[in-house]
Amino acid sequence: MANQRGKRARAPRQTPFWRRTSTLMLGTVVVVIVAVVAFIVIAHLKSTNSGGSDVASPAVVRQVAGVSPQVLKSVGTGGYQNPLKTTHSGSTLKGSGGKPEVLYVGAEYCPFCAAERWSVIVALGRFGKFSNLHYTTSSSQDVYPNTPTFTFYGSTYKSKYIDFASVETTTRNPNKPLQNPTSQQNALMQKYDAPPYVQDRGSIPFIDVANHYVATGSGYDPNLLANKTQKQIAGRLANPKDPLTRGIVANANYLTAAICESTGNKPAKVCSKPPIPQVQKKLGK
Amino acid sequence: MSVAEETHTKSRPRRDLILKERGLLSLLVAAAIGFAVSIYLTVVHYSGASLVCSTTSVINCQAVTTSAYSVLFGTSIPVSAAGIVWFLVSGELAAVGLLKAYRSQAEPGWLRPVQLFWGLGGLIFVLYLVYAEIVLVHRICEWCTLVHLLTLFSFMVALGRLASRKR
Repeated sequence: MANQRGKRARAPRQTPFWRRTSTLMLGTVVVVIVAVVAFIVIAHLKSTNSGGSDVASPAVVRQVAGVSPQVLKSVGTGGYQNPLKTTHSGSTLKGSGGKPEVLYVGAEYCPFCAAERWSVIVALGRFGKFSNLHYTTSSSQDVYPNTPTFTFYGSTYKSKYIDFASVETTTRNPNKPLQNPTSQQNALMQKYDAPPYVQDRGSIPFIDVANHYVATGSGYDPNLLANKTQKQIAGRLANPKDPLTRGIVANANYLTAAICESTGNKPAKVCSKPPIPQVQKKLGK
Repeated sequence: MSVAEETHTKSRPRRDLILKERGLLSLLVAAAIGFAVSIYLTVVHYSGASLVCSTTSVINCQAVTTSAYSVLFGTSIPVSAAGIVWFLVSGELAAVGLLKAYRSQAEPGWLRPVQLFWGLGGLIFVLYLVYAEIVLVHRICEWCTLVHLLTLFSFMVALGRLASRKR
């Protein structure tokens, strides 16, 4: 009798709501959905305030900025003509760090800028280090559509030998402004981005190496970059026989030679090593 | 007992095992799939080949798997390599439980909490990767999403197993 009373008195234990398996499962799904929705909202807010480009892989940037000396030497001028025009200016353009400055003015939509940036990164990679480069492609509505490249917008460059100033005037949409040249940069462009230094006034990309050498346009055919990813292009820079490599690296060698002239051939490990001394002879003084 | 009766008797424990341990089995299957996909992503990363993946304005596996967030912090090791390790461990934990069940032995007391802890770690890392895809890279990778869903599934199963453990 006492046992029966004990059995009747024991009520079934109820699991608290928050400990039920279904609640925990549902809670997990809700948390994940809320997180994903939050990410989408953040991404949307970010893209309305910026050009919306993807951060470049450090490994890819290393491949581009660190093309091997053997490839640089093997390519040389690659059979390409010197794209740079000497200004015969007696003064050296100095940057914010007091060093000879390389000025780049372009735009994200521009396919020739897209091509030129590869050579600029290869050349400047020998003198310093880029950070925070982002991938982008040129406009889908222009010639050489969607040319894969990087943008200098938002990036930084540090070097002991040169200063680098970049201006991306618009995003991939040529109607959406991004950066404005300073009044000094505008003055330089008025003077050097015009005949007799360049063929067409106001052309981009415009490169000024310390006011000693200027160039506009791309030093090689942007079509060589078509239908490839940045990673694929970077991977091909190890092959000096590849036409794409020859275009990028030859152009970069000319830029490097010009930069070396401005730095007093420093650093020696870059400026005294082939093919730079040979390329410098082709620059024209 | 006839041969037919003997065979039926022997197969019953295996069917019971599958039904009783479906949580562990599903963890093992998820780990196997996740392991295979992680291997594929890692091989593609090192070989430079293109992923079998659709490309739209939102879905772009190449953009995701070649971005700065496709490698472990400060290294050149692809995150898919971490996925290989994660799914390997998850599969091994499930296998431990299944082996014990098959031998009619008690499951180790530490197994379910460790599975939950492992699943939680994986889920947190997955949320970071999803953040990187959506907010930083602005693209989604189908293969990565499959791996993320398998991780989430593994966490939920581990959570369910721990919550349903009889006290």
